[in-house]
This record gives sequence, structure tokens and C-alpha cells, in this order.
Amino acid sequence: MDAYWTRFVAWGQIVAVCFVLTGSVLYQFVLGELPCPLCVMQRLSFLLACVGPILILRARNAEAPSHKSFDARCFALTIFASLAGGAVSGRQILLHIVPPDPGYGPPVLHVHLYTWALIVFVCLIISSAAGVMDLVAHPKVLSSWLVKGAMLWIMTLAVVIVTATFVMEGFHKALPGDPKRYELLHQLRITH
Amino acid sequence: METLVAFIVLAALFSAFFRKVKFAIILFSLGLAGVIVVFYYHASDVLNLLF
Repeated sequence: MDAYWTRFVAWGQIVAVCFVLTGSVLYQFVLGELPCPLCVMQRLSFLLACVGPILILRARNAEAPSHKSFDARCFALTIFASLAGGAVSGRQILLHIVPPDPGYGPPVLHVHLYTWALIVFVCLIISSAAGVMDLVAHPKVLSSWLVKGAMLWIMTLAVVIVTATFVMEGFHKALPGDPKRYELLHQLRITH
Repeated sequence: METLVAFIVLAALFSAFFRKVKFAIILFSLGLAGVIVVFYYHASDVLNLLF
């Protein structure tokens, strides 16, 4: 048996994070909305939350004699990253909670991206708890092309996000509070 | 700072992908610490009120 439920939950967490990060990257490159430092921290927390699920899907059989304890540790990584990301999302929600503040960036389905981020962080915590419980004992094996697709998706997004963060920050100490341009391109005199 | 944390997070992801469990967990810890430090740097005005 392949511990289908645990692997399915780990795969679902990666896919959920991929959807959120793809939306955020599309907002940046299609709509030209540069992310603020708190948005960048939420992106990085989402990527960190994927370390545990990736370990479950990639390394469990090779490294761990006891699957359940290894799974629990990996889901714990997801919970820690989600708590940190949720704290950042909560801070950003509180920054814009007082009317008539319209919020930062355009909303998606009447909800701002940082509120969506908090919802997804909470879902990641709940799903991690559910993943440890082995709710469904199913003799089915998770399709390898689904796993490979999710891996390719998240690793591509990670490379894009890290590169975009470097280009936005340039050689400054930190990102500005409200970024307006790609600092690296400006420093290299590619744009003015 | 954000770039440094981002590269640590990327290294953690690639370590997990290439099944280097110990490296992945160490880099995860560094990345998480980095996220918390940068968060404090950008939100210290509010956090100073709390602590």
C-alpha cells in the first residue's frame, strides 16, 4: 500500500499553493502590481510550506523506515511555515481594515490577496492535521504524472518568485515599503 | 534581506526535491527564521506596541 491519503493530502497542498502563487505572479507580471515586502514574505512562507509535502512525495520511501513519524514531521514543517505566513497575512489585513482604506492591490472575487492568503494558510494547517490522521486507507497509488506535474509547477514558480524578488530588491538592504519599480534594472541602468 | 531569505527558501525546496532531508530541514529552519526577522523588520512599529 502506498499510504494514498497522506500522499494525496501532500499533493493537494502543493497544488493549492501553486494556484495561489500563480495568481500572485500573474498579478505582478500581467497587471504590473508589484508585491510589497509583506506580500513577498507571504510568498516565501507558501514556498516554505511546500518543503514538507515535497519531502513526503519525494523522500519518504528512501529516507524513513517509519512512514508515520516522517509524515508527521513533514506536516509539522507545513504548520510552522503556515503559522508564520498567517501572522504576516494577519498583519497586512489589520493594516487595511479601517474604512475607508480600499486595501492594497485589486481584489479577487471581492477579497484581497492577503485575505485569500490567510484563508489558504489556515487550510494548510487544517489539512496537515488531517494528513497525519490517515483518514482513508486506500490501496490506490497516486499517479506519478500528477506528482511530477505538481513538482514541476512549484519548482518553476519558486525560481520565478526568487528571481523576481532579487530583481525588485536589487542591491538594496531591503525592499521599499511600496515598491514602484524593479530596482536591479534601475541600478544596472537597463530602465530609468 | 528578502533576496537572501528567498534564496535560502529556494535551496530548501531543491534540497527536498533531491531528497536531502537533513539539508532541507536545516535550510527550512533558516528560511523560517529569515521570514520572521524580515517580518519584524517591516512590522516592528506595531510589534513594539505588543512586546
